[in-house]
Amino acid sequence: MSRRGRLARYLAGRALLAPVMLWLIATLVFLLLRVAPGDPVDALLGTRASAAARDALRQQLGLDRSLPVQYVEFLQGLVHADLGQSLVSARPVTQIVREVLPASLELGLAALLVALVLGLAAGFSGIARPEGRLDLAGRLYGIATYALPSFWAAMVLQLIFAVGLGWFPVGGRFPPTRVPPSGSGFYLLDGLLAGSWSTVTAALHHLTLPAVTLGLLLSGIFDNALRLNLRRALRSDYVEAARSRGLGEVRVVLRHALPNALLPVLTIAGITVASLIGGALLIENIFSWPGIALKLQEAINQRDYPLVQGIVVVVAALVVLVTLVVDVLVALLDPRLSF
Amino acid sequence: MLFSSLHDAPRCGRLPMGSTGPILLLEGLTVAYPPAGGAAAEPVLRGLDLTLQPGERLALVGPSGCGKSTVARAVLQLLPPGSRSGGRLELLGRDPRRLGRAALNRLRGEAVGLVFQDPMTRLNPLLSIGDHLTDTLRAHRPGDPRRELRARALDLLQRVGIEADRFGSYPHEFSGGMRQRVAIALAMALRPPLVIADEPTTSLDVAVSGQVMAELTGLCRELGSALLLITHDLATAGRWCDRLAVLHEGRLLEEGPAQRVLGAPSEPLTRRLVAAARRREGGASPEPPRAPVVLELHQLRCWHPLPGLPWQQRWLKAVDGVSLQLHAGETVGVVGASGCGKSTLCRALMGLAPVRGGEVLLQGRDLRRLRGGALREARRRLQMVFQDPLACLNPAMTVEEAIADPLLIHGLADRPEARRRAHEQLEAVGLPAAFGPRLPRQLSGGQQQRVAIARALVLRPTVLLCDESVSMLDAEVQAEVLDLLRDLQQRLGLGMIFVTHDLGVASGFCHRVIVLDRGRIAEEGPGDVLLCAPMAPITRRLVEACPRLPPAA
Repeated sequence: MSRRGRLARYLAGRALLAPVMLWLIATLVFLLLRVAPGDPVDALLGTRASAAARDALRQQLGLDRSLPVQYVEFLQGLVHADLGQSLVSARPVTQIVREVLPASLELGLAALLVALVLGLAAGFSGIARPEGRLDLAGRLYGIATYALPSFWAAMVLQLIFAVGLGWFPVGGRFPPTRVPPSGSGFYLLDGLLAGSWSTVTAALHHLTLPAVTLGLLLSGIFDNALRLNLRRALRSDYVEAARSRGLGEVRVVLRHALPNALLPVLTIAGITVASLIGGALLIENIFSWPGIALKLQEAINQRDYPLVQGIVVVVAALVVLVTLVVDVLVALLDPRLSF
Repeated sequence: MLFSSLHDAPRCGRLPMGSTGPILLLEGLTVAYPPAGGAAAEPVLRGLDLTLQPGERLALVGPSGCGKSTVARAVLQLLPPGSRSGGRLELLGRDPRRLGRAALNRLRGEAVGLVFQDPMTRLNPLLSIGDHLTDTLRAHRPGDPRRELRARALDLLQRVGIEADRFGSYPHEFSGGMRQRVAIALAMALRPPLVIADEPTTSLDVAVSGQVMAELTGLCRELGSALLLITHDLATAGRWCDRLAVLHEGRLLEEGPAQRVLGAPSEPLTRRLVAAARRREGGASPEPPRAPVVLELHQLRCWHPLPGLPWQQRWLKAVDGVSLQLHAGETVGVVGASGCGKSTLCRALMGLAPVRGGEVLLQGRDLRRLRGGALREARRRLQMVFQDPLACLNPAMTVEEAIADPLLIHGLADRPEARRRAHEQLEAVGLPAAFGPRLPRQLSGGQQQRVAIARALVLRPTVLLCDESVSMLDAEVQAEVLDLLRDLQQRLGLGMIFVTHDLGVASGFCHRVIVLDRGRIAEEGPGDVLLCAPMAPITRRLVEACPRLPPAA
């Protein structure tokens, strides 16, 4: 079979596998929440409510039915993209997720951009002179940013740039005095589409500090990954062979060493993005960023089962999607991969 | 005709090529690698004198570690940073050490083409074969239009026997021999007046290496390039080169016409090298011993499923019905070209490759029916020595740990006892006990292989499998390791299966030889008989492909 045919088959296989993985994750989430201690009725009504009121609520929420029935209903809803209703606000979970997800995605994408630019630049910096000053500085940068506790770094940056210097707002996503743009929920995009320059600058003003903080903390991974892989590639036999044919150093690095070094970095970037989607909790917390992680924390504290369930399933779906995209990219870029 | 576009290529910007004077001139060349671990490094080359005239084919031979490969690196200035080099080194009348970056880059490729030993790692895995060629051409001829570069790259590929439709193929889709052909095309891309080939066929099997050498020398002759062939294989050197230079400890020991040096060597070392090489060409096969059968194969089949639809399963029949009997104290050679299934046979016996059918009887018990403890016990009686000792020894384990490890795995000894047995074993393979705490990479290739043998024998096996275990060693070390194996066999009564692509080595070492072709036994008999009177076509091909030394004067 041709390479293209095999590739198509591989992609189809991966795409078919994705729903199965989602189903497994959803089941796991469903079970874990039911096994975990704590009763949502307690959380909603308090422990001193009457037995009748408790039973009424229990029935209203569907918690009186057996576990298998609840599970089947949960799955039925999932198939119809219905994640149930929030216990606390009585609004559909999908609606809540649609409100908070763009904020997290906007922050995550901006942070990833910052991390890639900073990390790859730092990783590439030492190439001209291994063990030179620039190389050492880059290495130190990588270790330091990687090792920094994120909550501490975020608070320090917030103290300096928001509280002390006042360059950026302390928290939030948009000035409270203004009406946020409507549309996709991505404020930058909405502002650009509407052609409203003031919206864009206001959104950027709020986005910059959290995104740079998160990006800085992530950049160490890219820095180290690129540095190590690039050095290995530059010492490889095929690079020596390329040099022996009289290829200039720029060509050797850009055409022979860098692509080979970037392939593993791509995989690492995929894993990082996946962890970013749910893992920006501390940053969202410190900068009061109204994202999905903050919402999840709130839902957990209120024992809002359907909401927790819905958010986790959505995040898991995104992780599965990102992993799929990265796998496909690697398969397209690396001719050695057999599928 | 094929090469017309190359010949018409614009000559602008070419290096000065004086028609007079040598291409390469070395006088008192010294090279020392940068000191490692604080100790000042011994120079690798200590005053080497060598000249190469245009169009000449010179082989540089010598035992491993004599500095052969350093010559190639010095000429192309590919030495690691911090190396020191003295003496005279002139390439086309210019000293590469004094050239700036740009001039040096033009020299590499345009004045000298280099073919490396290992074709597997020398090509960029993400670049197609065609891109390798156009990339190199473009680096040296930046002004030429894309179409013309592509046409020239295609021409080059065809010239080394690669079809035009493989232009877009990637290195991993090529066999070793094909990759080496690509490497030759790359080295020849700019028609350099000098081609240096550093052990170009050492990792290829006999039949393929003959073809590759023919391509290489043919192209050199056609383009009028001089060839500097670096090799440890005297027969190859004598077969393809006019002149021979023997290198020893960084100095030129002997130089002269290949026929003379090989036929009537004057230096003692050369005589020893020639004698070792002659011994490799096969001697009388020893008489097989009368002893009980220890290993018996009945119609062994190893088939691998090929990708396809489940109801029309196709199979790759790597081993297809092989039967043989191995007696105690006997060595059976398994010989064949690459891809004939000889390695799969070994792996199947070790339980590393799935067996599809047939029987493997070790001392009368069918390995395929044994389970659990009995299988472990049986596996202990069957050990293997691999081709590349450095790759099969854990780089982080010291020699004594590596040898003691199997004892610990099988629970046959506690730590102190295992250590003691490891030291015993070191002695048995002729290594001093002081080697115990060393790491594998601190040993030479021959010593590493001795360690691998010691590790295989520490479990006191009945049968030893040797998969190309001496093919990476040069002739002299090879003879030493073979002597050791023979000696151990006589002392321990080992049955040995000796897999090799080299019928000559097998004939002198093995009691019987089996020639495999496409998973089946093509021919069977004493090695010397097969060598003198091969019957099967595959055996004949193997015998003919083997380069042989000229008769002694």
